[in-house]
Amino acid sequence: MSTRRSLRIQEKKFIPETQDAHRTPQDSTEGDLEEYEEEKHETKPSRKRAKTNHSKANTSTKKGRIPAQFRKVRGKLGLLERLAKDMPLDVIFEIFCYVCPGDLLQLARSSKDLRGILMSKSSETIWRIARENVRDLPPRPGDLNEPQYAHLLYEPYCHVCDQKRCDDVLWLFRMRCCTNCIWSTFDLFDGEFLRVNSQPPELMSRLDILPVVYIQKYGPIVHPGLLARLKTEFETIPTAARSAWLTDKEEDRASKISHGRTCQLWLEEKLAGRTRELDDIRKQRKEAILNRLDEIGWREEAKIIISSWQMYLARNEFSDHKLVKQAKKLTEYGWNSIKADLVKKLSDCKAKRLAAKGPRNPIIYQRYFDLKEEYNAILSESDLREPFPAVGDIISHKLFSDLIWDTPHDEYLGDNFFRLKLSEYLPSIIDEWRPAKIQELLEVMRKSHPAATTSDLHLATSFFKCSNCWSHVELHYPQVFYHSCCQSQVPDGHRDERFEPYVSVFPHGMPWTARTITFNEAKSQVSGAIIQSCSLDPTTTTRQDMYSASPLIECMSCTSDQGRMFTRWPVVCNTIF
Amino acid sequence: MVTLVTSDNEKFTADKEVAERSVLIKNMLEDVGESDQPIPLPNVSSSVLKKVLEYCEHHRGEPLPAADADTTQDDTRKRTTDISEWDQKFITVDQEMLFEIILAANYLDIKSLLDVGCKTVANMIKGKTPEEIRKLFNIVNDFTPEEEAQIKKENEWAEDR
Repeated sequence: MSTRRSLRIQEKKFIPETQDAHRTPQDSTEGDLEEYEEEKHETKPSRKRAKTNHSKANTSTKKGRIPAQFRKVRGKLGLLERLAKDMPLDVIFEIFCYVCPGDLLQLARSSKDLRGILMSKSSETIWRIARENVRDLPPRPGDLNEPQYAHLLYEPYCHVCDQKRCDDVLWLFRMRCCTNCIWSTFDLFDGEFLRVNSQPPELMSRLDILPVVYIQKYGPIVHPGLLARLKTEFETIPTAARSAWLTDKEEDRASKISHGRTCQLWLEEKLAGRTRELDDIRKQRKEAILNRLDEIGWREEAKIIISSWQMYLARNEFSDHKLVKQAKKLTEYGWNSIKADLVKKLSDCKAKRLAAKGPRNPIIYQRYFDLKEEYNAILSESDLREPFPAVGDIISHKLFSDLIWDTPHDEYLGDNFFRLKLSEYLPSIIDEWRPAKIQELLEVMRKSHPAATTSDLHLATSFFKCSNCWSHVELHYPQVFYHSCCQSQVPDGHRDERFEPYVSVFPHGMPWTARTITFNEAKSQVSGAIIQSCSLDPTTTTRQDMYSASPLIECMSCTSDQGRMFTRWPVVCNTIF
Repeated sequence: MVTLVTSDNEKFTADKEVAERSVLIKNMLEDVGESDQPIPLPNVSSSVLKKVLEYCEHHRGEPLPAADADTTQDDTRKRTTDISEWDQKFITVDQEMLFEIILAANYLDIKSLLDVGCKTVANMIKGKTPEEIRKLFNIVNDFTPEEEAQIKKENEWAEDR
């Protein structure tokens, strides 16, 4: 960085009166930049110099230096204006190398000074470095210069009308073209077009050369201007050289198409990345708004709206409100400008909610949702080797049903409330629920084995099947208590007006029932035979015993080129079926 | 200890290790040898030097870029605009101060601080339209509407036009 130091000493030591004087060739140690300045001196009068003289004339007063439209702007003139005028070129170079080519393009369109710097060929290095910093961006094709390539990749508007956003890039034609402009720019390459444009046949028969692409929504399109240019070029080529010319053109087109494919992949990833980025910003904004609402006592109402609608996985009046769902960071100023409108919205929602009668009241849904969330948190930390009640068993339990329905509807209970209540009531609910449900399962088994006892549920021969899902998953104790079909049926005696609203939004969160479960006699017999072949007693061997023994069982029916086929418990039971 | 004198004649004392994060000061100290003479920094004001010394103090002891890390290497390295949390907080200043810090870092040759400044400005520019850039930095739009429409289509090098 010695160059930088000398540069700075020079810069400051000889700081001239005019702001731009440090842009002299001596000042720059970058070959490119030096050349740039020299070129400007030699070829044409410097645009910046002209400006300097102009600005020099106005430097007598501060007011004089400030452009008319900013005279009323509070604070000092912007950084970038000084950046373009005062900053040494190598620092500008440093800054510009950190942005992407699309940003360079926007910078070059923001002021004449910046355009002067960036659209000079001597700035090619900046563009190259900026481009090479972009992840997975295919290299620049030879027929485009850096700004042209940046324009193609980053300018999101139709290149014809410049009005409509357009992500359809026609890579072969190096342009973006919206639906409105397509037919004013391209022709349909159909039989009619070919009939009118049949000459010269040596060229017109070469689809691998013609400026034609197939676009799903339009069909094959041809660019008439490019086609005319191609024809003219073709006519000028001597007949003997045409074959080589055609080969060149074919390779050129193939290379553009292949490059376009990689660009398309890059673009798609870029657009997807941008979508993710915007989603994140929206999420952060929503969270920031909720925190602000918390400070003024409106968070709960917003949460009620979110929760009550979340169950439908649909839009909701808060999250999808135009002031909330913006991909814009929430600032102090921003918050102050939306606060009144949001509070008005929330108070309207609250009034509507309180006026609502009956089971469709959003507060009821919100309470279901909070309770379910807390139940899930407890479930994930619980020992499930013994049957554990389903969420529907908890929600339909009288203790919780009363809490949900009988607590005044203008009272926000919140997740903390349900966490405490679950810790308080869950042990007694489990004590009551577990023996009853084990008994229900035992009754299912007793239909095949009338003398079965609770301990028989643990036997390695005790298999169940589900008549609802035809699942080949082996069902046994206690896994059968977590089978989804057993939590998707409304059990008898649960169809009341308090439970109906819950059923409508949580159809897969019902109380556990063995209604679809039957004993799997066939599998039981097969497993009995396997257990016997392992010299164990099927009437006393439990699943745990089989896991401990972990026998290696050979299938005599299966053959393989690789050798003999072995399997282990319990996979063998599924293999045989 | 090293004494530094700012453009507004304020004196700052700093540990040699801290001050020498500036390659300019390091070289000056090497040139003058052991001396109690204060080092004049006529291009840095006291408010800016205070910030610069805060930065150098925080990064004391961190490896400095190799003296021969030339610009060709600079051209080929991948640039990211990630800034550490402390640096980000440090550089959250008004635009005027940011500009002065960049200039001072460049003058004093403190590469890492210059990088932080440049990345900050780059991050401010990223994703903005020309109008947003102008608004953010108070740049005067000196293009006529016709010119503005024209330059969107004009992507050639100035020399090729």
